Amino acid sequence: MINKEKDYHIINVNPDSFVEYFRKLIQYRFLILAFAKRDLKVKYAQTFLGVAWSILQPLTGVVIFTFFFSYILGWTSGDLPYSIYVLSGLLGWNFFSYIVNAGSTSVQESSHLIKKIYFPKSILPLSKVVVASVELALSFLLLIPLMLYFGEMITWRIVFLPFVLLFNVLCALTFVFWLSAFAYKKRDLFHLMPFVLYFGIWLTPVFFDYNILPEKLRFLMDYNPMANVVSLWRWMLFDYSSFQWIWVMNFGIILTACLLGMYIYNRRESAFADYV
Amino acid sequence: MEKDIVIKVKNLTKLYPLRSFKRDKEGKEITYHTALENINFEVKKGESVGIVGPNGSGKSTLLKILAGVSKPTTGQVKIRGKVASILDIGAGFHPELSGRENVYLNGQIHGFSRKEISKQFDAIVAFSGIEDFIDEPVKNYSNGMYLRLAFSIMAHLDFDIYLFDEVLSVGDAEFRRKIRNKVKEWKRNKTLLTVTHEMELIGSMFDRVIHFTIHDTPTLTNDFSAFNEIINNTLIEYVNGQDIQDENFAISLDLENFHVVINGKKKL
Repeated sequence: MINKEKDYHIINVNPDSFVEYFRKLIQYRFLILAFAKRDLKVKYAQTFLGVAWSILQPLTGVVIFTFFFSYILGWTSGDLPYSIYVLSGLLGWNFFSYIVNAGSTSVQESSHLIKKIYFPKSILPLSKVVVASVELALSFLLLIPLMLYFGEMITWRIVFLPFVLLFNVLCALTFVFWLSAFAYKKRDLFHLMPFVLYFGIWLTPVFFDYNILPEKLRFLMDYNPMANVVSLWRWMLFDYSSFQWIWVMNFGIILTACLLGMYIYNRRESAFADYV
Repeated sequence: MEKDIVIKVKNLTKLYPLRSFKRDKEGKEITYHTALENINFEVKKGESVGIVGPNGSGKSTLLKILAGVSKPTTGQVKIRGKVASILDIGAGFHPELSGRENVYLNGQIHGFSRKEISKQFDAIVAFSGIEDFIDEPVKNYSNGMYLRLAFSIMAHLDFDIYLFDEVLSVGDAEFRRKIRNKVKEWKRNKTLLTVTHEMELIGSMFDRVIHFTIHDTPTLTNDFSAFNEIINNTLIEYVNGQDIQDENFAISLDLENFHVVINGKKKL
Protein backbone atom coordinates (compact mmCIF):
# COMPACT_ATOMS: atom_id res chain seq x y z
CA MET A 1 0.00 0.00 0.00
CA ILE A 2 1.39 3.36 -0.94
CA ASN A 3 0.70 6.18 1.44
CA LYS A 4 -0.68 9.24 -0.13
CA GLU A 5 0.13 12.67 1.17
CA LYS A 6 -3.54 13.36 1.74
CA ASP A 7 -3.87 10.48 4.21
CA TYR A 8 -1.89 12.55 6.65
CA HIS A 9 -3.52 14.95 9.01
CA ILE A 10 -1.38 18.05 9.29
CA ILE A 11 -1.07 19.87 12.58
CA ASN A 12 0.54 23.29 12.46
CA VAL A 13 -0.12 26.74 13.78
CA ASN A 14 -2.86 27.46 11.24
CA PRO A 15 -6.46 26.87 12.28
CA ASP A 16 -8.69 24.66 10.16
CA SER A 17 -10.36 26.30 7.21
CA PHE A 18 -14.04 27.06 7.72
CA VAL A 19 -15.00 24.29 5.32
CA GLU A 20 -12.76 21.79 7.12
CA TYR A 21 -14.19 22.96 10.41
CA PHE A 22 -17.76 22.28 9.27
CA ARG A 23 -16.68 18.88 8.05
CA LYS A 24 -15.32 18.11 11.51
CA LEU A 25 -18.48 19.45 13.15
CA ILE A 26 -20.55 17.08 11.03
CA GLN A 27 -18.19 14.22 11.87
CA TYR A 28 -18.59 14.95 15.59
CA ARG A 29 -22.31 15.83 15.45
CA PHE A 30 -23.34 12.89 17.65
CA LEU A 31 -21.19 14.36 20.39
CA ILE A 32 -23.57 17.34 20.56
CA LEU A 33 -26.34 14.99 21.61
CA ALA A 34 -24.07 12.95 23.83
CA PHE A 35 -23.06 16.03 25.85
CA ALA A 36 -26.66 17.23 25.99
CA LYS A 37 -27.81 13.85 27.23
CA ARG A 38 -25.08 13.87 29.84
CA ASP A 39 -26.13 17.33 31.05
CA LEU A 40 -29.78 16.35 31.31
CA LYS A 41 -29.07 13.09 33.08
CA VAL A 42 -26.75 14.78 35.53
CA LYS A 43 -29.23 17.59 36.11
CA TYR A 44 -31.98 15.27 37.23
CA ALA A 45 -29.75 12.68 38.91
CA GLN A 46 -30.88 11.80 42.42
CA THR A 47 -34.07 13.85 42.26
CA PHE A 48 -37.52 12.54 43.01
CA LEU A 49 -39.46 15.03 40.90
CA GLY A 50 -37.00 14.90 38.00
CA VAL A 51 -38.08 16.98 35.02
CA ALA A 52 -40.98 18.37 37.03
CA TRP A 53 -38.46 20.82 38.49
CA SER A 54 -38.05 22.36 35.08
CA ILE A 55 -41.80 23.01 34.86
CA LEU A 56 -41.99 24.30 38.40
CA GLN A 57 -39.47 27.04 37.71
CA PRO A 58 -41.43 28.90 34.98
CA LEU A 59 -44.63 28.16 36.89
CA THR A 60 -43.45 30.04 39.97
CA GLY A 61 -42.26 32.82 37.65
CA VAL A 62 -45.68 33.14 36.06
CA VAL A 63 -47.43 33.17 39.42
CA ILE A 64 -45.13 35.82 40.91
CA PHE A 65 -45.04 38.09 37.87
CA THR A 66 -48.79 37.85 37.35
CA PHE A 67 -49.39 38.74 40.97
CA PHE A 68 -47.05 41.74 41.04
CA PHE A 69 -47.30 43.20 37.56
CA SER A 70 -50.88 42.41 36.70
CA TYR A 71 -52.68 42.28 40.05
CA ILE A 72 -50.69 44.86 42.04
CA LEU A 73 -49.40 47.20 39.33
CA GLY A 74 -52.29 46.68 36.96
CA TRP A 75 -50.22 46.22 33.78
CA THR A 76 -52.35 45.09 30.86
CA SER A 77 -51.53 43.03 27.83
CA GLY A 78 -54.22 43.68 25.23
CA ASP A 79 -56.66 40.83 24.70
CA LEU A 80 -54.27 38.27 26.12
CA PRO A 81 -54.50 37.15 29.77
CA TYR A 82 -51.39 38.48 31.50
CA SER A 83 -50.25 35.05 32.72
CA ILE A 84 -50.16 33.80 29.14
CA TYR A 85 -48.50 37.01 28.01
CA VAL A 86 -45.69 36.73 30.52
CA LEU A 87 -45.19 33.00 30.00
CA SER A 88 -44.96 33.38 26.23
CA GLY A 89 -42.39 36.11 26.82
CA LEU A 90 -40.40 33.96 29.19
CA LEU A 91 -40.30 31.10 26.67
CA GLY A 92 -38.05 32.99 24.29
CA TRP A 93 -36.12 34.87 26.93
CA ASN A 94 -35.32 31.86 29.12
CA PHE A 95 -34.30 29.90 26.04
CA PHE A 96 -31.96 32.74 25.10
CA SER A 97 -30.53 33.28 28.55
CA TYR A 98 -29.98 29.57 29.18
CA ILE A 99 -27.91 29.21 26.00
CA VAL A 100 -25.95 32.40 26.72
CA ASN A 101 -25.23 31.41 30.30
CA ALA A 102 -24.44 27.76 29.78
CA GLY A 103 -22.83 28.29 26.38
CA SER A 104 -20.33 30.92 27.41
CA THR A 105 -19.23 28.97 30.47
CA SER A 106 -19.17 25.64 28.64
CA VAL A 107 -15.51 25.84 27.65
CA GLN A 108 -14.48 26.57 31.24
CA GLU A 109 -16.76 23.84 32.48
CA SER A 110 -15.09 21.28 30.23
CA SER A 111 -11.54 22.51 30.76
CA HIS A 112 -10.42 19.12 32.08
CA LEU A 113 -11.65 17.57 28.87
CA ILE A 114 -10.36 20.00 26.26
CA LYS A 115 -6.89 19.81 27.77
CA LYS A 116 -6.81 16.08 27.18
CA ILE A 117 -8.85 15.20 24.12
CA TYR A 118 -9.43 16.98 20.83
CA PHE A 119 -12.89 17.74 19.51
CA PRO A 120 -14.28 20.87 17.82
CA LYS A 121 -14.99 23.27 20.68
CA SER A 122 -18.23 24.67 19.25
CA ILE A 123 -19.71 21.26 20.09
CA LEU A 124 -19.88 22.54 23.68
CA PRO A 125 -22.19 25.57 23.21
CA LEU A 126 -24.16 23.68 20.55
CA SER A 127 -24.91 20.92 23.03
CA LYS A 128 -26.29 23.58 25.39
CA VAL A 129 -28.75 24.55 22.66
CA VAL A 130 -30.13 21.02 22.80
CA VAL A 131 -30.44 21.15 26.59
CA ALA A 132 -32.18 24.52 26.36
CA SER A 133 -34.58 23.11 23.76
CA VAL A 134 -35.65 20.40 26.17
CA GLU A 135 -36.33 23.03 28.82
CA LEU A 136 -38.28 25.02 26.25
CA ALA A 137 -40.38 22.01 25.35
CA LEU A 138 -41.14 21.52 29.04
CA SER A 139 -42.35 25.12 29.28
CA PHE A 140 -44.88 24.27 26.60
CA LEU A 141 -46.32 21.67 28.95
CA LEU A 142 -47.20 24.65 31.09
CA LEU A 143 -48.35 26.96 28.32
CA ILE A 144 -50.75 24.54 26.65
CA PRO A 145 -52.96 23.87 29.72
CA LEU A 146 -52.93 27.59 30.44
CA MET A 147 -54.09 28.34 26.90
CA LEU A 148 -56.83 25.72 27.12
CA TYR A 149 -57.98 27.22 30.40
CA PHE A 150 -58.26 30.72 28.92
CA GLY A 151 -59.63 29.42 25.63
CA GLU A 152 -56.74 30.71 23.50
CA MET A 153 -56.20 28.88 20.24
CA ILE A 154 -52.81 28.42 18.60
CA THR A 155 -52.84 30.09 15.19
CA TRP A 156 -51.77 28.54 11.88
CA ARG A 157 -48.64 30.64 12.19
CA ILE A 158 -47.15 27.84 14.33
CA VAL A 159 -45.69 26.63 11.02
CA PHE A 160 -43.13 29.40 11.49
CA LEU A 161 -41.88 27.72 14.67
CA PRO A 162 -38.59 26.47 13.17
CA PHE A 163 -37.81 29.96 11.92
CA VAL A 164 -38.59 31.57 15.29
CA LEU A 165 -36.51 28.95 17.09
CA LEU A 166 -33.64 29.54 14.71
CA PHE A 167 -33.79 33.30 15.23
CA ASN A 168 -33.87 32.73 19.00
CA VAL A 169 -30.91 30.34 18.90
CA LEU A 170 -28.89 32.60 16.60
CA CYS A 171 -29.32 35.55 18.97
CA ALA A 172 -27.91 33.47 21.81
CA LEU A 173 -25.11 31.83 19.83
CA THR A 174 -23.96 35.15 18.40
CA PHE A 175 -23.47 36.26 21.96
CA VAL A 176 -21.70 33.06 22.98
CA PHE A 177 -19.32 32.88 20.02
CA TRP A 178 -18.24 36.50 20.18
CA LEU A 179 -17.88 36.43 23.93
CA SER A 180 -15.90 33.17 24.00
CA ALA A 181 -13.66 34.22 21.14
CA PHE A 182 -12.66 37.45 22.85
CA ALA A 183 -12.75 36.55 26.53
CA TYR A 184 -10.69 33.37 26.70
CA LYS A 185 -7.49 35.23 27.65
CA LYS A 186 -8.88 38.05 29.73
CA ARG A 187 -12.10 36.95 31.30
CA ASP A 188 -13.60 40.35 32.10
CA LEU A 189 -16.23 39.99 29.42
CA PHE A 190 -17.61 36.92 31.16
CA HIS A 191 -18.28 39.08 34.19
CA LEU A 192 -20.22 41.46 32.01
CA MET A 193 -22.60 38.76 30.87
CA PRO A 194 -24.86 38.61 33.97
CA PHE A 195 -25.37 42.38 33.66
CA VAL A 196 -26.42 42.06 30.06
CA LEU A 197 -28.93 39.35 30.91
CA TYR A 198 -30.12 41.21 33.99
CA PHE A 199 -30.77 44.47 32.16
CA GLY A 200 -31.60 42.88 28.84
CA ILE A 201 -34.87 41.44 30.09
CA TRP A 202 -36.07 44.98 30.77
CA LEU A 203 -35.16 46.11 27.26
CA THR A 204 -37.28 43.26 25.93
CA PRO A 205 -41.07 43.12 26.18
CA VAL A 206 -41.13 40.06 28.44
CA PHE A 207 -43.14 41.49 31.33
CA PHE A 208 -44.67 44.60 29.74
CA ASP A 209 -46.48 45.34 26.55
CA TYR A 210 -44.43 47.74 24.55
CA ASN A 211 -47.45 50.07 24.33
CA ILE A 212 -46.70 51.16 27.88
CA LEU A 213 -43.43 52.65 26.66
CA PRO A 214 -43.38 56.34 25.71
CA GLU A 215 -43.71 56.80 21.94
CA LYS A 216 -40.13 58.01 21.51
CA LEU A 217 -38.63 54.93 23.20
CA ARG A 218 -40.53 52.33 21.20
CA PHE A 219 -37.90 52.27 18.48
CA LEU A 220 -35.67 50.43 21.01
CA MET A 221 -37.92 47.42 20.60
CA ASP A 222 -37.28 47.42 16.86
CA TYR A 223 -33.52 47.38 17.13
CA ASN A 224 -33.19 44.83 19.91
CA PRO A 225 -33.15 41.42 18.21
CA MET A 226 -34.37 39.67 21.35
CA ALA A 227 -37.37 42.05 21.48
CA ASN A 228 -38.03 40.97 17.90
CA VAL A 229 -37.83 37.33 18.90
CA VAL A 230 -40.18 37.71 21.86
CA SER A 231 -42.66 39.63 19.68
CA LEU A 232 -42.32 36.94 17.04
CA TRP A 233 -43.22 34.24 19.56
CA ARG A 234 -46.42 36.09 20.45
CA TRP A 235 -47.17 36.89 16.84
CA MET A 236 -46.78 33.22 15.98
CA LEU A 237 -48.73 31.81 18.93
CA PHE A 238 -51.54 34.33 19.36
CA ASP A 239 -51.32 36.83 16.48
CA TYR A 240 -50.67 39.34 19.27
CA SER A 241 -49.03 42.12 17.25
CA SER A 242 -48.63 42.77 13.56
CA PHE A 243 -45.70 41.36 11.64
CA GLN A 244 -42.78 43.76 11.20
CA TRP A 245 -40.45 43.57 8.24
CA ILE A 246 -37.65 44.89 10.42
CA TRP A 247 -37.68 41.46 12.11
CA VAL A 248 -36.58 39.87 8.88
CA MET A 249 -33.88 42.46 8.42
CA ASN A 250 -32.59 41.90 11.95
CA PHE A 251 -32.65 38.17 11.36
CA GLY A 252 -30.31 38.70 8.42
CA ILE A 253 -27.98 40.81 10.55
CA ILE A 254 -27.97 38.28 13.38
CA LEU A 255 -27.36 35.39 10.98
CA THR A 256 -24.35 37.19 9.54
CA ALA A 257 -23.06 38.15 12.99
CA CYS A 258 -23.43 34.57 14.20
CA LEU A 259 -21.55 33.06 11.26
CA LEU A 260 -18.83 35.68 11.63
CA GLY A 261 -18.66 34.96 15.36
CA MET A 262 -18.39 31.26 14.66
CA TYR A 263 -15.61 31.94 12.17
CA ILE A 264 -13.61 33.92 14.73
CA TYR A 265 -14.34 31.28 17.38
CA ASN A 266 -13.01 28.63 15.03
CA ARG A 267 -9.84 30.65 14.37
CA ARG A 268 -9.17 30.97 18.08
CA GLU A 269 -10.50 27.79 19.67
CA SER A 270 -7.22 25.91 19.30
CA ALA A 271 -5.75 28.28 21.88
CA PHE A 272 -8.54 27.62 24.40
CA ALA A 273 -6.77 24.56 25.81
CA ASP A 274 -3.70 26.69 26.59
CA TYR A 275 -5.69 29.27 28.54
CA VAL A 276 -8.55 27.58 30.38
CA MET B 1 6.89 10.64 2.11
CA GLU B 2 8.44 7.41 3.16
CA LYS B 3 6.25 4.37 3.38
CA ASP B 4 4.94 3.31 6.78
CA ILE B 5 5.76 6.52 8.55
CA VAL B 6 2.73 7.43 10.63
CA ILE B 7 4.09 10.38 12.58
CA LYS B 8 6.48 12.94 11.18
CA VAL B 9 7.43 15.81 13.44
CA LYS B 10 9.31 18.64 11.80
CA ASN B 11 10.91 21.67 13.49
CA LEU B 12 8.29 21.61 16.19
CA THR B 13 8.37 24.50 18.62
CA LYS B 14 5.88 25.41 21.30
CA LEU B 15 5.99 28.61 23.31
CA TYR B 16 3.68 29.40 26.20
CA PRO B 17 3.10 33.04 27.07
CA LEU B 18 4.13 33.88 30.63
CA ARG B 19 1.82 35.83 32.84
CA SER B 20 4.72 37.64 34.49
CA PHE B 21 7.86 38.58 32.59
CA LYS B 22 11.19 37.08 33.47
CA ARG B 23 14.65 38.35 32.62
CA ASP B 24 17.47 36.34 31.14
CA LYS B 25 21.17 36.71 32.03
CA GLU B 26 21.59 39.79 29.88
CA GLY B 27 18.54 41.39 31.42
CA LYS B 28 16.43 40.93 28.32
CA GLU B 29 12.75 40.37 28.92
CA ILE B 30 11.46 36.86 28.39
CA THR B 31 7.75 36.79 27.76
CA TYR B 32 7.51 33.19 26.65
CA HIS B 33 8.33 29.84 28.10
CA THR B 34 9.86 27.54 25.52
CA ALA B 35 8.31 24.15 26.11
CA LEU B 36 9.57 22.57 22.91
CA GLU B 37 12.28 23.82 20.60
CA ASN B 38 12.89 22.52 17.14
CA ILE B 39 11.90 18.92 17.67
CA ASN B 40 12.33 16.52 14.77
CA PHE B 41 11.55 12.82 14.65
CA GLU B 42 9.63 10.19 12.77
CA VAL B 43 7.73 7.16 13.97
CA LYS B 44 6.95 4.16 11.82
CA LYS B 45 3.84 2.06 11.96
CA GLY B 46 3.97 -0.56 14.70
CA GLU B 47 6.76 1.09 16.64
CA SER B 48 6.67 1.64 20.37
CA VAL B 49 8.47 4.79 21.36
CA GLY B 50 9.20 5.84 24.91
CA ILE B 51 9.51 9.48 25.86
CA VAL B 52 11.58 10.06 28.97
CA GLY B 53 13.03 13.04 30.77
CA PRO B 54 12.54 15.13 33.89
CA ASN B 55 9.36 17.02 34.74
CA GLY B 56 8.96 20.21 32.77
CA SER B 57 11.07 19.06 29.85
CA GLY B 58 8.20 19.15 27.37
CA LYS B 59 7.13 15.53 27.16
CA SER B 60 3.48 16.16 27.84
CA THR B 61 3.44 19.22 25.62
CA LEU B 62 4.63 17.04 22.77
CA LEU B 63 1.83 14.54 23.36
CA LYS B 64 -0.73 17.35 23.59
CA ILE B 65 0.33 18.62 20.19
CA LEU B 66 0.25 15.14 18.67
CA ALA B 67 -3.22 14.67 20.17
CA GLY B 68 -4.41 17.90 18.54
CA VAL B 69 -5.28 19.42 21.90
CA SER B 70 -2.72 22.20 21.65
CA LYS B 71 -1.37 23.91 18.53
CA PRO B 72 2.36 24.22 17.87
CA THR B 73 3.84 27.70 17.66
CA THR B 74 5.93 26.82 14.62
CA GLY B 75 6.74 23.67 12.74
CA GLN B 76 4.38 20.91 11.86
CA VAL B 77 3.24 17.39 12.57
CA LYS B 78 2.01 14.98 9.95
CA ILE B 79 0.04 12.15 11.44
CA ARG B 80 -1.90 9.29 9.89
CA GLY B 81 -4.62 7.21 11.51
CA LYS B 82 -6.96 7.50 14.43
CA VAL B 83 -5.25 8.85 17.50
CA ALA B 84 -6.14 7.78 21.04
CA SER B 85 -5.03 10.51 23.37
CA ILE B 86 -4.81 8.92 26.79
CA LEU B 87 -3.21 11.91 28.45
CA ASP B 88 -5.27 11.32 31.54
CA ILE B 89 -7.04 8.08 32.17
CA GLY B 90 -10.75 8.62 32.63
CA ALA B 91 -10.81 12.17 31.25
CA GLY B 92 -14.38 12.74 30.19
CA PHE B 93 -15.87 10.44 32.78
CA HIS B 94 -18.77 12.01 34.58
CA PRO B 95 -19.08 10.90 38.21
CA GLU B 96 -22.90 11.08 38.23
CA LEU B 97 -23.33 8.83 35.20
CA SER B 98 -23.30 5.05 35.34
CA GLY B 99 -20.42 2.97 34.06
CA ARG B 100 -22.48 2.02 31.03
CA GLU B 101 -23.32 5.64 30.20
CA ASN B 102 -19.71 6.64 30.64
CA VAL B 103 -18.51 3.94 28.27
CA TYR B 104 -20.70 5.43 25.55
CA LEU B 105 -19.92 9.04 26.41
CA ASN B 106 -16.19 8.39 26.50
CA GLY B 107 -16.21 6.51 23.23
CA GLN B 108 -18.17 9.29 21.60
CA ILE B 109 -15.80 11.96 22.87
CA HIS B 110 -13.04 10.00 21.15
CA GLY B 111 -14.99 10.18 17.92
CA PHE B 112 -16.71 6.80 17.79
CA SER B 113 -20.39 6.27 17.06
CA ARG B 114 -22.74 4.52 19.50
CA LYS B 115 -22.93 1.64 17.04
CA GLU B 116 -19.18 1.10 17.05
CA ILE B 117 -19.12 1.26 20.84
CA SER B 118 -22.04 -1.18 21.16
CA LYS B 119 -20.08 -3.76 19.20
CA GLN B 120 -17.27 -3.66 21.74
CA PHE B 121 -19.38 -3.05 24.81
CA ASP B 122 -19.36 -6.58 26.19
CA ALA B 123 -15.64 -6.94 25.64
CA ILE B 124 -15.01 -3.63 27.40
CA VAL B 125 -17.01 -4.67 30.44
CA ALA B 126 -15.45 -8.13 30.55
CA PHE B 127 -11.90 -6.78 30.40
CA SER B 128 -12.61 -4.25 33.13
CA GLY B 129 -14.11 -6.96 35.32
CA ILE B 130 -16.89 -4.80 36.78
CA GLU B 131 -19.95 -6.46 35.25
CA ASP B 132 -21.87 -6.26 38.51
CA PHE B 133 -21.46 -2.53 38.88
CA ILE B 134 -21.78 -1.33 35.31
CA ASP B 135 -25.10 0.41 36.00
CA GLU B 136 -23.89 2.13 39.16
CA PRO B 137 -22.73 5.76 39.00
CA VAL B 138 -18.95 5.85 38.66
CA LYS B 139 -18.63 8.19 41.64
CA ASN B 140 -19.29 5.10 43.75
CA TYR B 141 -16.52 3.14 42.06
CA SER B 142 -13.26 2.45 43.80
CA ASN B 143 -10.21 4.06 42.24
CA GLY B 144 -9.19 0.74 40.75
CA MET B 145 -12.58 0.05 39.17
CA TYR B 146 -12.56 3.52 37.68
CA LEU B 147 -9.15 3.05 36.11
CA ARG B 148 -9.95 -0.43 34.85
CA LEU B 149 -13.08 0.74 33.09
CA ALA B 150 -11.38 3.80 31.61
CA PHE B 151 -8.46 1.82 30.26
CA SER B 152 -10.71 -0.91 28.99
CA ILE B 153 -12.64 1.56 26.83
CA MET B 154 -9.48 2.83 25.19
CA ALA B 155 -8.17 -0.68 24.75
CA HIS B 156 -11.16 -1.96 22.83
CA LEU B 157 -11.88 0.86 20.44
CA ASP B 158 -10.13 0.78 17.13
CA PHE B 159 -7.32 3.32 17.26
CA ASP B 160 -4.15 3.30 15.17
CA ILE B 161 -1.93 5.43 17.35
CA TYR B 162 -1.90 5.45 21.13
CA LEU B 163 -0.51 8.35 23.14
CA PHE B 164 0.01 7.50 26.80
CA ASP B 165 1.01 10.04 29.38
CA GLU B 166 2.23 8.09 32.40
CA VAL B 167 -0.96 6.09 32.48
CA LEU B 168 0.69 2.69 32.10
CA SER B 169 1.66 2.84 35.73
CA VAL B 170 -1.80 3.10 37.23
CA GLY B 171 -3.71 0.53 39.20
CA ASP B 172 -2.56 -2.47 41.17
CA ALA B 173 0.05 -5.01 40.11
CA GLU B 174 -2.56 -7.29 38.59
CA PHE B 175 -4.03 -4.55 36.47
CA ARG B 176 -0.62 -3.27 35.40
CA ARG B 177 0.20 -6.73 34.16
CA LYS B 178 -3.04 -6.72 32.21
CA ILE B 179 -2.21 -3.36 30.68
CA ARG B 180 1.32 -4.40 29.74
CA ASN B 181 0.02 -7.57 28.11
CA LYS B 182 -2.45 -5.54 26.13
CA VAL B 183 0.29 -3.16 25.07
CA LYS B 184 2.48 -6.05 23.94
CA GLU B 185 -0.43 -7.31 21.88
CA TRP B 186 -0.75 -3.90 20.25
CA LYS B 187 2.89 -3.77 19.33
CA ARG B 188 2.10 -5.86 16.30
CA ASN B 189 -0.07 -3.39 14.47
CA LYS B 190 -0.51 -0.26 16.54
CA THR B 191 1.84 2.61 17.07
CA LEU B 192 2.55 3.62 20.65
CA LEU B 193 4.06 6.75 22.15
CA THR B 194 4.50 6.58 25.88
CA VAL B 195 5.64 9.22 28.32
CA THR B 196 7.04 7.53 31.37
CA HIS B 197 9.29 7.98 34.36
CA GLU B 198 9.66 4.27 34.82
CA MET B 199 13.03 3.45 33.40
CA GLU B 200 12.40 -0.26 33.65
CA LEU B 201 9.98 0.10 30.77
CA ILE B 202 12.78 1.20 28.46
CA GLY B 203 14.04 -2.30 28.08
CA SER B 204 10.79 -4.19 28.01
CA MET B 205 8.39 -2.05 26.09
CA PHE B 206 10.05 0.38 23.74
CA ASP B 207 11.79 0.05 20.43
CA ARG B 208 13.17 3.53 20.75
CA VAL B 209 13.38 6.24 23.34
CA ILE B 210 13.22 9.98 22.92
CA HIS B 211 14.98 11.67 25.76
CA PHE B 212 14.15 15.19 26.85
CA THR B 213 16.41 17.25 29.07
CA ILE B 214 16.17 20.70 30.51
CA HIS B 215 18.81 23.18 29.38
CA ASP B 216 18.19 26.88 29.63
CA THR B 217 15.22 26.01 27.59
CA PRO B 218 14.09 22.41 27.32
CA THR B 219 15.08 20.79 24.07
CA LEU B 220 15.39 17.40 22.58
CA THR B 221 18.83 16.37 23.66
CA ASN B 222 21.82 15.57 21.57
CA ASP B 223 23.79 14.98 24.70
CA PHE B 224 23.92 11.25 25.02
CA SER B 225 26.00 11.08 28.16
CA ALA B 226 22.96 11.94 30.22
CA PHE B 227 21.09 9.26 28.40
CA ASN B 228 23.81 6.71 29.00
CA GLU B 229 23.54 7.41 32.67
CA ILE B 230 19.86 6.67 32.57
CA ILE B 231 20.47 3.47 30.70
CA ASN B 232 23.04 2.39 33.26
CA ASN B 233 20.65 3.14 36.06
CA THR B 234 18.01 1.29 34.17
CA LEU B 235 20.24 -1.68 33.86
CA ILE B 236 20.64 -1.77 37.60
CA GLU B 237 16.94 -1.42 38.22
CA TYR B 238 16.25 -3.94 35.58
CA VAL B 239 18.51 -6.52 37.04
CA ASN B 240 17.36 -5.70 40.53
CA GLY B 241 13.85 -6.23 39.33
CA GLN B 242 14.93 -9.76 38.43
CA ASP B 243 13.19 -9.67 35.13
CA ILE B 244 16.40 -10.85 33.56
CA GLN B 245 18.41 -13.70 35.00
CA ASP B 246 20.89 -13.74 32.16
CA GLU B 247 24.37 -12.89 33.40
CA ASN B 248 25.45 -11.83 29.98
CA PHE B 249 22.71 -9.28 29.87
CA ALA B 250 24.06 -6.21 28.12
CA ILE B 251 22.50 -2.92 27.35
CA SER B 252 23.92 -0.23 25.14
CA LEU B 253 22.90 2.60 22.96
CA ASP B 254 22.77 2.78 19.23
CA LEU B 255 23.56 6.48 19.10
CA GLU B 256 22.99 6.89 15.42
CA ASN B 257 19.49 5.50 15.39
CA PHE B 258 18.60 6.42 18.91
CA HIS B 259 17.93 2.77 19.67
CA VAL B 260 18.33 1.01 22.91
CA VAL B 261 20.17 -2.19 22.26
CA ILE B 262 19.70 -4.97 24.71
CA ASN B 263 21.59 -8.21 24.34
CA GLY B 264 22.59 -7.17 20.85
CA LYS B 265 19.00 -7.11 19.71
CA LYS B 266 17.24 -3.92 18.90
CA LYS B 267 14.17 -4.71 20.88
CA LEU B 268 13.05 -7.24 23.37
